[in-house]
Amino acid sequence: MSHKHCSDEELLALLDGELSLRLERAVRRHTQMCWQCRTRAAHIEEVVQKMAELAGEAYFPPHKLVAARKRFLDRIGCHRTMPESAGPKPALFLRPVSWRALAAGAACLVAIAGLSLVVTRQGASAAAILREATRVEHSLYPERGMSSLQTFTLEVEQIKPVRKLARARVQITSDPAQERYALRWEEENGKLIRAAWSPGASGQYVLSSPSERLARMPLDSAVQRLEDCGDACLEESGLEDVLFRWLRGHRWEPVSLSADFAVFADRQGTQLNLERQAGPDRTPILVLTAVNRVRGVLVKAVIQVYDRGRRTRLVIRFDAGDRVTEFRLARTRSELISRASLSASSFEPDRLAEVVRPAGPARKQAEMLPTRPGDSAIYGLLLDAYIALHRSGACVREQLAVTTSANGRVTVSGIVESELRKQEILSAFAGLSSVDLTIQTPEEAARHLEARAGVSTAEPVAEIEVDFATAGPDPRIPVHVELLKYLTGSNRPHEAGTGPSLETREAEFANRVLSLSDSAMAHAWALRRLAQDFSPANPQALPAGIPAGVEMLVGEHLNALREQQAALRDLLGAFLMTLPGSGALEEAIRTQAQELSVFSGPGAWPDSVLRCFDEVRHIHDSVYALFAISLRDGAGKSSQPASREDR
Amino acid sequence: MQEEEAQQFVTGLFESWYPCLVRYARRIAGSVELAEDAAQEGFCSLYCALVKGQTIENPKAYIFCVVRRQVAKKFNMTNHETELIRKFLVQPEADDGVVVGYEVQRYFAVLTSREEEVVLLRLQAMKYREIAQALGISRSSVNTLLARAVLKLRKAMDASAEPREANPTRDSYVTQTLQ
Repeated sequence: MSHKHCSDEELLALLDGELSLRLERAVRRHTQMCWQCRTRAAHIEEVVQKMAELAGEAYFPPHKLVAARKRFLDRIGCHRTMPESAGPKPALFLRPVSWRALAAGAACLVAIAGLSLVVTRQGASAAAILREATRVEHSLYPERGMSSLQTFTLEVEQIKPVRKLARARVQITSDPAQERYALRWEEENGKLIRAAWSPGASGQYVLSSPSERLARMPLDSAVQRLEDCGDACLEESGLEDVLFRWLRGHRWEPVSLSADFAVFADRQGTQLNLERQAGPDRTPILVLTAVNRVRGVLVKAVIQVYDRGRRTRLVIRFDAGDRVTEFRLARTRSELISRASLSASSFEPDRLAEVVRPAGPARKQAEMLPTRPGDSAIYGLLLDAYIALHRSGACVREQLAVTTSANGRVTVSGIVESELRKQEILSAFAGLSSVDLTIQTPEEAARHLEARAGVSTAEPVAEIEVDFATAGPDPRIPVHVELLKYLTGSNRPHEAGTGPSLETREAEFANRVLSLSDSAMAHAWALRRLAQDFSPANPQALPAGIPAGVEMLVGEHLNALREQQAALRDLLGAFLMTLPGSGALEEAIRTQAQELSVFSGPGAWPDSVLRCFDEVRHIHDSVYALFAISLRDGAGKSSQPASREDR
Repeated sequence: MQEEEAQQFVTGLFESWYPCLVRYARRIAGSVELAEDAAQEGFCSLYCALVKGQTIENPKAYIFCVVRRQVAKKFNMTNHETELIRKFLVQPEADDGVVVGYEVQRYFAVLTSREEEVVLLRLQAMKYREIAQALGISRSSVNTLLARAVLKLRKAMDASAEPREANPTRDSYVTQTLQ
């Protein structure tokens, strides 16, 4: 820079103070010694000053500024006082014109399409979805008040896991004036396999025959998990019902709304993407994807409508990973009918339901749902239970058991210390209605036992009090002498007279060691439970999304375990070096960090975790053997922490 | 940011930047009404963005960028068309009260529209980085454009100090601009 003239840009940037420090120093140094560049800089400054002077002649009339400010404040005032619903609405996700043909399809499927209309409003709820679906349905009939009877042929093709095809006929009778509709789903031979009806705005009912017997069930129960839809893919008659109930059971909060793509999320972390695409021949396609950040893609539904001439064809493809089913609905006939010709039994077939209604309400529910959820659903439930336990800290504090029954039910059971703790854990399971919880406080467990035994004959169990002064011949920890020597050693500054006494320091040290070991053991137990529950013979067989969730839990427990073991190593390392015969323990603790890094991929982790558990347990046993007080009495041998107060 | 807070913040900016913004918009839009609308839109847009919780790193550049986009959207024209309109249609109006000084307008005739924009923004005490953000160009481009503009302006100033008949090109420029 010293021997090269500055460019105009550099000079201007120097005057404007826009050069970097290094460059500024160099340019200044150069202009101090170079007359030419200094003159050029002066010329630039002249121009700048002249322009600034000329521009300064302009003024802004004060009255204009006042008026402009008032206008601005009015505008943002309008914005602030405007209610959310009155704001500029985003473009409709689906245009009713495009879906005119769809409205002639199944009324319950229109409800799904109605969702996409509702989703443009804030906080769409199930009730809003229903209302909007009804409104859309009504708005699309050619003449208001006229009833219609439409007939469809339906093909239900299961593509995965086994390919099979079933054909059926669907008749839909609708009376929009009285908000009634009825749907009959018959096999080709005329056998009724499913019916749904709404006798009015008050409710809707489904008549289903999964086991040759029809059961009536109001559509009021929510489905919490979309995997149930995947399971229902095998039961073609239950699919639409389960999906509909799932949509109703969630409160979808809009995340992003645009003309062709909308994203919603519920409070359980499931994200619902609704995307409108144009298929071949400009046919509209609605893609509904439910994704959970932990479990991955839950289900994908692709709804496609072909409308060629008067023949409408609707294709819905449900893809739940290992289960894929496709519905193909084609309208074969549509006619307007007078209300007089409507049969009352079309909308109120309660008499039929009375005849075939099962005995008890529990059986109704059992017959409506698949008898045993699929593996995907069971693993999902298990993972949800473990995540809820993890969230509440119960996976390391309380030893709550997570079990799976033969019919696929997941149960979490155990005893917790207090009612408050129980409520904490129950609140962590608030969104998981599919998991059975039998969590009890000690008092409840005792009452339960008494009730089972009939009459309580047992004496109340007295709390075991251990008198440390007289509990045994040696109430001190096994390494008492060595630890005292270590604590009073030359390398350990002894703050005589100012700090705690030597016995207190010894107890603190021992309790700290035991506490760290306990904590590490708790994480190791949690890891072992995960390894046992999520390690099928073939690790690749875990349903999609499950390994990611398990990996998250395992990773967090491993991190905690690493921290505990590192702290234990730091605390114990120096002491163990002074303790004769403790080489094995020292070696085990030292190499534990290497053992903990064995989590290498979903295929190898269960075995690695089980090995890791054995190591941690070995260390835990050794630590207790060294630092826990041995109480030798007639009943045998037990170990107690060094000081109960600190525990 | 809360609505109250956002309103207070944007109103504070409004007092000091609105005149600059209207002058700038007036120059590139050619109409006071359009310039005022664009300036209003710029401040409203900033307010809405703040209320929605967006982080605006440089509010000044953001507003100028919105204004510029509003004007371009209004005209829906290319840079070349803008240049033509600027040269033949946008004339100083002494009575609208918001135009840049008459002399400045005269000198601006020698600049390209991009250079003029950069100088206009620099006259509003904007830093290179802010100008770059407002115009969507790099900081070094701003530096280059400014240096080039200063060079041209210096020549124009030197020329204006000479006798009129000595520079027929400049004369035709001025005549064309004033008509």
